[in-house]
Amino acid sequence: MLTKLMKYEFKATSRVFLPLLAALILLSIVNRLLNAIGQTTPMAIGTAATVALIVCIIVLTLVMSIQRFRQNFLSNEGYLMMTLPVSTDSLILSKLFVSVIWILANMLSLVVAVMIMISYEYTFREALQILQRLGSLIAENPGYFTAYTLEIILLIILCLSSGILLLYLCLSLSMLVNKRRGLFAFAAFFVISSALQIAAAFANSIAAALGVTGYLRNLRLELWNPYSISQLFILISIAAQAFVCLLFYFSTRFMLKNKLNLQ
Amino acid sequence: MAILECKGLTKKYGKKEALRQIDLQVEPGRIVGLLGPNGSGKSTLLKICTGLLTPTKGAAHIDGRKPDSKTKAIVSYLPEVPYLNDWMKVSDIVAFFRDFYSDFNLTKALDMLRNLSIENQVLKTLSKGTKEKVQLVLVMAREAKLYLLDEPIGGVDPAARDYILNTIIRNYNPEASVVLSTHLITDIEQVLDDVIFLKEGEIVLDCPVDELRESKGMSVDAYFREVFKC
Amino acid sequence: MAWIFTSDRPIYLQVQEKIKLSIVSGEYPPGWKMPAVRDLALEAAVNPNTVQKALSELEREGFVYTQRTSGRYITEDDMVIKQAKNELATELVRSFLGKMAAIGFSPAEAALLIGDKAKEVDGNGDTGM
Repeated sequence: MLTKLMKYEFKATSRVFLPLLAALILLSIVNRLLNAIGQTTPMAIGTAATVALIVCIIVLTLVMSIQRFRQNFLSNEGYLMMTLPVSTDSLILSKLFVSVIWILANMLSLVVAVMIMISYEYTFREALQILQRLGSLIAENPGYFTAYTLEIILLIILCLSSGILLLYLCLSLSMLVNKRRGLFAFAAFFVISSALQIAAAFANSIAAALGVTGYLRNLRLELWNPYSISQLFILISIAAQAFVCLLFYFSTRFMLKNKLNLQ
Repeated sequence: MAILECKGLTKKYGKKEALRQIDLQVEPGRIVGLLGPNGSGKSTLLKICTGLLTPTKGAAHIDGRKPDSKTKAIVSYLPEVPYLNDWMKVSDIVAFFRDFYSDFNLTKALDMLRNLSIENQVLKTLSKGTKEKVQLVLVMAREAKLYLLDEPIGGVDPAARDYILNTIIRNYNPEASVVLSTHLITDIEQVLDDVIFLKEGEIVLDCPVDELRESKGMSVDAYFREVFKC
Repeated sequence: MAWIFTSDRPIYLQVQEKIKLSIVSGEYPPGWKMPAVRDLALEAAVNPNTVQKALSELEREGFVYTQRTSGRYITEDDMVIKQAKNELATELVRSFLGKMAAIGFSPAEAALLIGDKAKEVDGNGDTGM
């Protein structure tokens, strides 16, 4: 059922994102050509348009994450979605996964667009050199490199997920009130994120009190050392993000299951 | 076994009691009218049966289970509000229903939609009345065990009302039950087997239509006006 | 067209009477296969269970019979139909006389009036009924 839900979620979102991403790639190619011709006025216009489009895509990515959840689950469409013979888990996860995938796809498209625009001969040469150096580094210790990459990818996905799940939680909490739900969700966002920061600071000072910080300071900053501070930092971050994700996820799930209040 | 059973069902919104100690049973093959003025708790009761709301006390059982994804598979619910995405085509929505409901009868749905001749249109272009009909067609094209219809004849014109009642009769299945809520009883009471009167969250009457007509010597509509006199 | 019902009596009784009338008037001829319950319910715009109940009553009274596999048929027993016709006519006359009495006509006077009107109708040719 999760895959079916995701299929329809992609259908609903690609309607918006695909044309935008196609426009972005097209625009970056046009920019590159204008650059080659060397006309300054059209070049300036092209660059401005690209920047506007990039801002638009970034904003829309955030707006879509909010809108899809709010409109599909908490407004009239909720009468359809919430009475489907699927579990609440599938409902939330379908939205979350598709949202994360779009964010990653959009980031990737931005990178591709920028690469197209700056694709001069010398940048190619430079990029090639960087890749070569990276290659030799990897060759030194391929095992750690793989672990590192996977950890970083996991951390990025967890960070994105916790952010999106926080949005979902705030939207779900807004069902507790009958008026000014947007405002309530906004307030909930600030309360929860500051509470998290306070909790993090608290954990930090406890760690300091226990002498953990001092211990960490003595660790060497070595990239390929599994006991290095960077490695430890990533693992702690992963654990913390995973904990926050679970907290937000189960709170959202509780709200949707027991406190649904469609308007 | 009753297809729908409520025992001591109570729902509070804050301090306000929307439903109080509701006990009722709906047997297979019955068409039941849930009658009461606006705000008497009809929608709340139906929403609890669909699993959209959780009761404060007591429970609703569908085919012996509390509402969950299994009961949702055998309950076909028509809410009061339009819930379809405007940008979807009618054929997209049909595909959506077929994907999620294994009891969805595609032939039946297409037959009914053909009569409305709107198969390939985008929902946004349809009139409000036609959209409501599409929703009804989708809900009734399922071979569910329990149909919960919330105000299906709310604000529709007489022709649309006939269409709705016709659809309900045409899809009658002795294994399945229909519970429909309404505050407009004229012209629909002849479609009902039983009526349940809901007043301020409590059941004040639960009996077969013909029994009521026989014992009171008046129509359900007339009796309703008497019970809910202002 | 949906059938029209009065509000003071159970609907199944009224469905039953309506079908009985159709049998007596010959609209549903003897031996005719009746439509399925659902179609009849759609025609009358009433609950199928109500039609079912009316048909069961009619069956009990001998107006229709069920053949296990092929459906429901109108009785071919002339006596049953004739008797029903008489009962219906008696009922109509009784109610007519009641109404006449209400506006001051005795049964004898009413009968006289009927005789006059009957001649008039016959004079205008056979009008059917």
